[in-house]
Amino acid sequence: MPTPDVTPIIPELILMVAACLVLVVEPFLKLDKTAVVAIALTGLLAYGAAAFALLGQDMAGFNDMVVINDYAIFFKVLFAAAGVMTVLMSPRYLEAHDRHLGEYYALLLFAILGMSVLAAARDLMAFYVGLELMAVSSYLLAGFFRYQLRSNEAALKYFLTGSFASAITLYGISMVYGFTGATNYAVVGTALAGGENTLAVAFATALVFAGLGFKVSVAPFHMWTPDVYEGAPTPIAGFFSVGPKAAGFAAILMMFLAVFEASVDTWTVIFIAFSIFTMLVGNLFALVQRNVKRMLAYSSIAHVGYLLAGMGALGRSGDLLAGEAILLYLAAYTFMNMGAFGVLVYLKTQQPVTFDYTLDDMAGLARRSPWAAILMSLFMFSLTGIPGTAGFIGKFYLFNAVVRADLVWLAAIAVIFSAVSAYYYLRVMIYMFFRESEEEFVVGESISGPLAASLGLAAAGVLFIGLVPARLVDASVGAFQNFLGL
Amino acid sequence: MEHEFASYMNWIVPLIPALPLTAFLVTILFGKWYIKEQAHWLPILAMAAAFVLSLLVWWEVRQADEGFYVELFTWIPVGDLQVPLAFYADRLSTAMIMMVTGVSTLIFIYSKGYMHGDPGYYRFFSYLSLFAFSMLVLVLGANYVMLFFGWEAVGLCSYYLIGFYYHKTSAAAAGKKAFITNRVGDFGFSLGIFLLFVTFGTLTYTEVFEAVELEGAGTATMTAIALLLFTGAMGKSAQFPLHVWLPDAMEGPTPVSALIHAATMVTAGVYMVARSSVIFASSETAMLVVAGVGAFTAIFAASIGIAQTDIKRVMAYSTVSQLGYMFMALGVGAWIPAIFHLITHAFFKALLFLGSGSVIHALSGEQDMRRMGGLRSRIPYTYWALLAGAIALSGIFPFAGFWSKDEILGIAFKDGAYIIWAIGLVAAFITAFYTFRLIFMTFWNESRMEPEVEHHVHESPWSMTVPLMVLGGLSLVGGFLGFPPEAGVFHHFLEPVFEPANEILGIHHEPFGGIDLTLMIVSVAVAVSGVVLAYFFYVRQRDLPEKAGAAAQPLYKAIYNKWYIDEIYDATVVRLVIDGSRFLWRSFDAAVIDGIVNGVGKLWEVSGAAVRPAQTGKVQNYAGVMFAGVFVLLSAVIIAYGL
Repeated sequence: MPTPDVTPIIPELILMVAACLVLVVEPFLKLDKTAVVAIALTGLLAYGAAAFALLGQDMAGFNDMVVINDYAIFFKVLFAAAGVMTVLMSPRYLEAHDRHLGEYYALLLFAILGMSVLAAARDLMAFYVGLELMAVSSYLLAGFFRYQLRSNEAALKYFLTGSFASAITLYGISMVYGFTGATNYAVVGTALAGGENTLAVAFATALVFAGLGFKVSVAPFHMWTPDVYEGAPTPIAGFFSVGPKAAGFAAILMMFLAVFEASVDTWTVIFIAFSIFTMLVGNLFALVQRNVKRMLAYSSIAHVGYLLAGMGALGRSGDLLAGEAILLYLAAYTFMNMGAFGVLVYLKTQQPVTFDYTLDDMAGLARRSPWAAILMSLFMFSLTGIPGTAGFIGKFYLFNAVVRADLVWLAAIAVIFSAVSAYYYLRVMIYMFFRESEEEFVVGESISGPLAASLGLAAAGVLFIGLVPARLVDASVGAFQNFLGL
Repeated sequence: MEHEFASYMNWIVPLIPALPLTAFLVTILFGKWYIKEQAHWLPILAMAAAFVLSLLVWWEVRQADEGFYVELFTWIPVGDLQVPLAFYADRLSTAMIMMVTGVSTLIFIYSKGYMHGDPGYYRFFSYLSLFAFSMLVLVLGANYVMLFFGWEAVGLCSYYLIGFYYHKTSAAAAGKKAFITNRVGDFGFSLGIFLLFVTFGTLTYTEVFEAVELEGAGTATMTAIALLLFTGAMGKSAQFPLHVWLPDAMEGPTPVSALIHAATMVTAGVYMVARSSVIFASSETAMLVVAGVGAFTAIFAASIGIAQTDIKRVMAYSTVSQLGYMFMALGVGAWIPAIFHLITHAFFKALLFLGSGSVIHALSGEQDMRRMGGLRSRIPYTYWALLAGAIALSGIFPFAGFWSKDEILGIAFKDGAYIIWAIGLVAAFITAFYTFRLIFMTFWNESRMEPEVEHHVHESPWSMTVPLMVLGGLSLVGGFLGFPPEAGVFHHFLEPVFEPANEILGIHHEPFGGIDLTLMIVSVAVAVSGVVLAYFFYVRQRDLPEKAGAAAQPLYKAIYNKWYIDEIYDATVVRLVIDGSRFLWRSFDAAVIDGIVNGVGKLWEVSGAAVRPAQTGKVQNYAGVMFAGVFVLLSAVIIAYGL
């Protein structure tokens, strides 16, 4: 048996080695976990760098189970960025909660490994393995503060509902296997296109949609989201809101364009319908939240709604523009949402007991720590979609694609919901700048270097994408065109 | 002949705007807590460095006929519209950046003394740096989008700085007025850019101008583009009837008036028209409009200047009038004299503003000339500097203003535009009159100051007087850049830029001759007689102004009230808008829109509150909803397939 070529999975191998190293080193450490953090960080950077170095490669490995190409690399770099930001946010936060353990970083790396496989998979088996690796690591991370009721509850809810979702996905996949007898995307796609079982295929399409929809919190499969975000450690909540979501969309794009190409008319309608419902639910619930972390959870659901509209446009027109816009949006979203959670991490680290993520806790922030308030405003502006920020560029390209797909009405709905979202995003700013806090907050120790670096990275990403979008546009165009040449 | 530019041009050209940008960022971020009273150092050094780099660029550019183009990256890619972030340093933009960075450096240094002790000290310097950055992007940009970016950004800084003393109602109102008036012009300007893009499919200067030269686009289109662009210039460069904001802009601190409202920003319109010379040359109508508006503004604003009593307002109207001269020159195809006048005007007008700032500083904030007088011996440096500026502005040999102004008038005359020449000559007479009226009222005769103020009169610190002296020197000798007339260093430097436009117009200027000498003598005579008249009115027979005013009561009142332009706007545009919007507000907004908006807001609130219980927190319910969702989805699929 010839040795398999490992080139397509070099980045993943690096990540795996780093994760295992973390587990090996951890027992030898006492209180100071710097070594573990350094390993995790180095692993992530090496993972991203390796992926970057492979740019331009286009090859499949392991019997066409995984590929390395610009599309997979786009996501790997994105995951690396999200991972780096998460790791940098964590040490001081975990110390403040007396739970600074090495497993945390190992689990995070394993989750990213799963995501990475998910984006690179070209086979239903590899896809499922990636999905589960990501999911199981996530359940554990959500319950990482296991002595806290909320964290425990979050993990359990996530696990139970997540298992249902996995079962649903698996059911859909098994139907596909039943029709075609194959698991490779390209083979399955061709077979389905030539087959007849249209209702059954549509059924399988719907099931896989529901399963993946759970992962990216499409309403009505979203109900775990706010509870899990609220209960999970805040850096992890931020990570959940961007990482698995981007991975989910990487899989969704591939699954529906490659595997279910035959039922494109069916899933286009499904995506559009769920897009509207998800935008409605996300925005509506976000409006009434007084807890900023929960508000961000619902707002992330709303953003998924916009992305689903992009999928609808992609199915409707087959226009490259829509796919590129989705990638662009995911990248923009990663930086701005991670940044918003990062500011919350900072506040919670400063006041582990008194700060409870409510709007009232944010009151007078501009006076207490003007930098935090300014950064938070930047991220809120970006989430709203104010020009000059990444959020605007993302929305601009995405809605533009929707309009080009002759779905002007859908774009209009999305724009209206965006306008509604300004209400709850800008409300945070009103509290920070124009309300006085009722109690005297003692400003704790100053911001830690890594957290500052993480926030700086997020802010730089938001501004860079917002002011000089060309680089990222080129990257997403390259990635998506490469992906279509499957 | 393709010229090989030195490779360091690739980074020094982008560095010129980058330096003040850095100064801005650092000052605004760290100024309040860390830099505080030391906020002037970084902006001044950054500006001075930018000036040195500009000289380097000049050294390179003067060896080549064509400009230096450097593209950093694609800035906005949207379909066909690819806008690169690129800079274009040709002879015209190089002349501009040398002027902008040089004058800015002096004004920054002056501001150190003038703004000393102001609570917004760091804020002031950060805005100034941001302004310098915007202005440099405006003149260095390689396409109309960057021009527009700089255009709007300088506008923004100008509103900030006009309203710098935002607690003063008049300052806030003046900022608002500048904003609204400029919106009118910018609306036309942006339409012009759209039309340009639609017509030629590109916004990069070199490509647009080549397309215009080779293909053209029909006279009607070219006229429309040129006139729309000119609307923008009228707003920014304060030409009639969009000039009303500039005098009010004097509410800002004096260095701002000098930098923005005299030397640099207001010349953006002149620069833009000169930059687009090929476009304007393609339309006779547009040229006529430019010349007409310029000439009318020149005499109109000068006439208002006669009756103003606020020292800064006299200068403001004088600026409007001098900008009129520049447009007049552009309109008759005298591109180089227009830019020449722009540069000399920057020197002496910055000097005059800084000088009057020094006067105001010495008099503890007094700006009314009726309460000045006799300051000649009290603040001698300021007096001599201001006097130099005044002679230059009046156009008296051999000061800077003489050469550039005379050239404009000479070319107008030789081109047969006698009416324009005559208007220009009359305006020159008035200019000399009101300028020396200012000098005599402020520095001569006996003191009319309040005793309290008089007690405190003091010469300004060195940081204020040194820039004055430098600018005074430049006002004295700057004109010799254009010597001999129409064939000076300056003309040879700029000639290649305007060759294409001159070709379209078919202009071949005759060499300097006897006729020019005659015209020179005439204009000097006119200027001197203006000064002499002012001397009689304000030194010898000081009851004359009153008598004259009484004799021509309606005329005097009209010019005193600035020809009632503000009142006319109030009675027509403003009233119409206010009444109209009040009507809309009462009938439409309050009833319909508010109803809808409040209704929608209420709807969200109520429905949000109504759905809240749906999120029960029970995992059974979550799973239930999930399965319900799957069930509905599958049912829909089945129904759709007609089972």
